[in-house]
Amino acid sequence: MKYALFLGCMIPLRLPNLEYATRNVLAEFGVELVDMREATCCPDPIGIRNMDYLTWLAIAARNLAVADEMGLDILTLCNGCYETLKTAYVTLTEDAEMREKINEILAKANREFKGKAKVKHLLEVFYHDIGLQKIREMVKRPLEGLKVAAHYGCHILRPSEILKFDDPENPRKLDELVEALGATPQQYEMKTLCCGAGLRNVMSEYSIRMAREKLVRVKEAGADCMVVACPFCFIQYDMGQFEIRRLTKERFDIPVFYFSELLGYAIGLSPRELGLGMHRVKVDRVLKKIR
Amino acid sequence: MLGRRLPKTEFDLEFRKKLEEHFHEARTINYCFQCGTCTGCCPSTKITGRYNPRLLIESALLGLTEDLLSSPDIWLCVACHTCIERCPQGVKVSEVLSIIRNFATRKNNVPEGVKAIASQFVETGFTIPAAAAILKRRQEMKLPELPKPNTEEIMKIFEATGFLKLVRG
Repeated sequence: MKYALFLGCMIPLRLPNLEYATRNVLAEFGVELVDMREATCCPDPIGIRNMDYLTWLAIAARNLAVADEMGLDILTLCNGCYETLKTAYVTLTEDAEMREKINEILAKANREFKGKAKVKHLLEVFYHDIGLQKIREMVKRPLEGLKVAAHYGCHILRPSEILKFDDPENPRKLDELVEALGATPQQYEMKTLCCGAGLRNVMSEYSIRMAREKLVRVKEAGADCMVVACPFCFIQYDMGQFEIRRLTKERFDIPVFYFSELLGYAIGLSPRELGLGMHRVKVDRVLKKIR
Repeated sequence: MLGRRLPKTEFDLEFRKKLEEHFHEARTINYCFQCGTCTGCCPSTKITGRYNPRLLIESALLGLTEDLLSSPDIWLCVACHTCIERCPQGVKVSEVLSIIRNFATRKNNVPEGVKAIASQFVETGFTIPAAAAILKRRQEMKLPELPKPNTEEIMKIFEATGFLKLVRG
């Protein structure tokens, strides 16, 4: 298995620990990564798309063209990048007129969208390409007794007509991955609620209040921790807990994991090899719970 | 006097066609029957108390663009796309509203935070600046060098789409 690694912005420039954990875990599974050195921001499916659809599509197409030249499928570690790149891929594959228009723009930069490189999210690689069976075999330290609330995030699920990852109303795949690690998927209310990251640059208080909505439900359900598949969701729920504390005086103390971290711990990597010390909400207490 | 007086406002009856020219799927708003499912399932409506996708779609259909495109509230969408999943008429609600924001951007109705991201993006190709502390952390973890896209190449795309003018005004 070999992919063109698309890093995006949030992971390499804010949360390099998630990149570190993911690279270390994928190496254990024998997955080879070739960095997309010429890639830019995906671009951001909210801010940049809201300002100009055509620019958003053209830059996304350029990133896809870079992977076309590398002759590899793309691996993304972020829901935002996934939505942008996959939406661009689907749009340009299905809409010949738009493809022509975009390729005229790309020609000025000596690029061409050919539609060869497919776009995969990290969870797709774990769930489909590596598979639950292989993951179960690799687990050395089953996460027994750990109740994990899975948060999928919006841009891996919706629009489902384009992304086709899982049931947008009742997703199961991340729960199944959690189960494969020996942990218990904890069900909770409002599972498909957005983390609120999209409002961070518009009105941050609303953004924090939206993150709070879900944390309240996760806490009520009695989960030990949350697992996410996107760096934006990660920041909303990890750092977000401190912002909520300033705003409403509530304290949740729910550790948040990016999926690679939880998987890495289960296959026997050390907290150090996973960069777990860099979380805002400390994870030690929850790791001690595992027998 | 009999009858109701019309409000003193311009109706841009071509607005829905303009949306469609930018984004084919915008034609789906013609099927909207104003049931309000989008607003009912919208997390931003719940949190902000003032974001109302049904009303925004109605304004677009009626061509009430003056109010629509100058409203700061149109930016309160989190882009979760729940409305697209739930719309009984197949309207691509959040995607159409995103195109409406493209039109608002051309009237200089863009939140400062969004503009800041766009400026960063135009400058470096990424929406987040490379902070010294993060670069140091990357070195400590022996992570590979950050991607280094050719910014001149990307500038050619921005010039072709007119994005620079939107960002720099």
